[in-house]
Amino acid sequence: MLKVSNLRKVFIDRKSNEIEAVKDLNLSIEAGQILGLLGMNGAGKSTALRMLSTVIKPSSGQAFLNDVDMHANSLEVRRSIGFLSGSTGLYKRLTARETIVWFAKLNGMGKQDIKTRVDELVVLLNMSEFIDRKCEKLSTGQKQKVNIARTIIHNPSLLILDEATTGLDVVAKRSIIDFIKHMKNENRVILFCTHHMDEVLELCDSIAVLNQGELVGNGQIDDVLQSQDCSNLGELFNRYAERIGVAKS
Amino acid sequence: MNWQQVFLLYKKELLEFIRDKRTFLIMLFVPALLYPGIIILTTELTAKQVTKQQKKVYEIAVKSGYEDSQLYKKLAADKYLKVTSMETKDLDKVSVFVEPLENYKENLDSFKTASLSVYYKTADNSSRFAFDKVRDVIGKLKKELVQKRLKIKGLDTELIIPLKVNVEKVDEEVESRYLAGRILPGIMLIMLVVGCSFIAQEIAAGEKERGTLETLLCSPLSQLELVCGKYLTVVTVGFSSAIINLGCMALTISHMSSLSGGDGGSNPFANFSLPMTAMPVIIICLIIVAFLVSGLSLMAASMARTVQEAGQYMVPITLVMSLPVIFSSLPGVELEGITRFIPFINFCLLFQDLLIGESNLLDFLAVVVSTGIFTILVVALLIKIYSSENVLFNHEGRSTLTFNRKSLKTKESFEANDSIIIFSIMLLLMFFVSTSLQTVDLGLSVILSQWSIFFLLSLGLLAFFKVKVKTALHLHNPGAKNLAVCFLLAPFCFSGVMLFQLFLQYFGYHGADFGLVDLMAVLTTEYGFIGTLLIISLTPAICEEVLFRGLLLSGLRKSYSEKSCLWLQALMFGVAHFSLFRFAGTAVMGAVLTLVIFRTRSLICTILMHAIFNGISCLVWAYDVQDKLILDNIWLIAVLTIPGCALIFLLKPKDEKIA
Repeated sequence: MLKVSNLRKVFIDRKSNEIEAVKDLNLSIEAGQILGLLGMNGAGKSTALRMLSTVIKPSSGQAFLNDVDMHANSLEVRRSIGFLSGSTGLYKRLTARETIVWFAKLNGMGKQDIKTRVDELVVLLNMSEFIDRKCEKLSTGQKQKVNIARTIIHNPSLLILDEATTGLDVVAKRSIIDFIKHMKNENRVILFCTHHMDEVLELCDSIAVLNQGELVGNGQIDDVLQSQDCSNLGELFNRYAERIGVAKS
Repeated sequence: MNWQQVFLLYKKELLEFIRDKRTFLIMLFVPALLYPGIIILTTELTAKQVTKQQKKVYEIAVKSGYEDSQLYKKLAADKYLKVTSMETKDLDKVSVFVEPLENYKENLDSFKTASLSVYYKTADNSSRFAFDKVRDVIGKLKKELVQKRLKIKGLDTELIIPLKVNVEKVDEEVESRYLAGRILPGIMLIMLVVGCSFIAQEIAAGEKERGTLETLLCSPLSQLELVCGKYLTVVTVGFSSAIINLGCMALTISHMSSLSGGDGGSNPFANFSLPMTAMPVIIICLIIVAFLVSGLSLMAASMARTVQEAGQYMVPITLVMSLPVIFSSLPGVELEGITRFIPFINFCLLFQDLLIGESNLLDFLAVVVSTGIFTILVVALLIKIYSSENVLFNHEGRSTLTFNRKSLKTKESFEANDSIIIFSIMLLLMFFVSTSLQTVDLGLSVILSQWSIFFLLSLGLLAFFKVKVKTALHLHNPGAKNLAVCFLLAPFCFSGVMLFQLFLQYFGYHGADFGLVDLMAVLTTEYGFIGTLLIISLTPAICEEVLFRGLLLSGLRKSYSEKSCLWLQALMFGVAHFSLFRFAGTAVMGAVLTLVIFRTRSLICTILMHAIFNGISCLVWAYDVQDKLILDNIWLIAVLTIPGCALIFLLKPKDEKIA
């Protein structure tokens, strides 16, 4: 279970102003659930996900994964986190297999476990065709499959997916979405961030909406829409876009 | 730290590097192929060209009217010279023109000295080679004439040769090693930088650019393990590159030596071979230097966002690295005193000593320890960089210097990066303006450069970038007590700096009075003592404090701790005095004044202290009483200085807070 309590991150911008990228974020996700973290560009989603993946430290607040303080025990907790963003690259001169094996070793897995798990993932993600090909020679969809494999090779209990389907064609996207569903069935906590509302509707059990760093909605999709008096997610985002536009003008 | 994790990362980075065949070949093997290619080809081509030039027939001319002279006949007899007569000198038509001077024939016949002029062009190859031939012929003629004259007079030739000197080189092998020692360490250092920068760019900036850094940061790798894995990769590649280069250069030079048959001749590297006994020590030193260079390269590359940007950062590092190489090859620079402890310079000098067999254990240890200390500092900085979210994710906190003034908001101070940029610009301006003005008037150059660059430009920048002057310059009321303490503290700080410089003299660093006595003499002659006091004491006290402890420090404080600011201020203040010999003293003074502002939070205190400090310097150097005042009473001063400097603890901020 992931529990986030008053998580806050402050950056200093070019004009020496303090920018509160994430303001007192409170979330709770049970195992086997997918939470969709939604928001406009610059809403603070990536910063929140980076904090939850322990890549950056929060300015204040805490996050617990299975009751372990994630930032106080970051090295230990990282063995239970799989983090994937749309902009994540691969080591182009390693083969897909070498990449996955390397991350498995980094996570302290034994030789036999690695072999079994890699074989399992190759079948699951349909990677047999390109598993021994260098990453630089893979298509975008194949690369993303390798990325997913290296993200989950160590069986993390928390999966953080930041725009994982961005730039993929329809077939590749479908295969990734099916895989996320499979992960959900394996009882993992999944934090899913996307701009595609159809994916949210298909995958997420609940959503959290961030606007200018602030959590403005959290709960079941219908409840959030009802509380904001919107009929669908598109309308909800248009409303936020208008508010930001008004604030800027 | 888990070394297994470090090794995993190290292995992965090396594997990636080795698989990048293009970079691998360019970095490691192209130089290896180029050395023999360049050196052997150029040597052989040069030799061929020289032979060709020597065998060429050159057209020369002798002034008309001397066709029947012995000189003309001798020149015409040389198979490489075609001699004609010419009325007046025209070096566009001939390579050399020989003009016997007045009474040439008469003087020769009457056993007097006959004079002649030989004209040639130094910038013309043919003319130079022809001149060499003409000089040889004239030399032979001269010898014949002397023998002829002596014979006529019935004298023996030995009469004019009272001494016959046989010169024999007893250390031809060492000579070639000495020459190699001037070239090899420099080339190796540069190749080390090139090798390290290639891989550092790839594994630091490249990792950011490709988006793989984030995956590493959320893996179970600690910052220390991450830095160590990458660092060891850079060390390995850099060291391999340097050692391959060393090997190739040594083999090429040895090959040239064997080609010359060991007879010396024009080949300076004849008889050259690397002393095998020194090789283990050379390799140990190279490994240690590789650690330092790798740290510096990785540090620079880690600050960049892209490989291209990292490449740009490497340019100044490579240029700066060439300075110690140049310095160490200057005549008279040896591995002694302070040079033992300056990284890279000490390596080059030790390398030279090792090649000629004149090194000792103490020198070796000094090089190892000093380079090791610098390496530890660099690695500490590297770990700090890898702990900084701003650097890793390129968050804001970069320079705020923009010329779109409308977009700026009023702020308390500049950013740290702004301070560093402003300092660099001021330094350049100071160097060029001050240097140009010094040729006109020394006093004027101090006054104009200080007031216009340090003072007015600082105020102009604060106004333009909407920085609050009062907070940025720490213009707070210090209180009477702080002023009184500063007044008392300044002389003790002066003596403390003097003692420090005297202490450094034991290490061969003579910075105490370098150039100041001469400067004072010039200024007092032109401006009188009071005028000089104002120029040397008051002007820098106000202007330098406004810039260093005001504008720059308030910016630095935004990103750095007080301790780091002390170091940075010491470095900046030392560098700004443009003298290697005054660096230590001015750096200590910069640190002391920074400490004073941290304790008082008032620029007025540092201005007062700076003025008194400079005033005392003025008195000491104007009357050149350093020996009488300080050296004769050194123990008394030392005993008084320590408790005197403790006065600094009495300083406390009055009530305002520093920006």
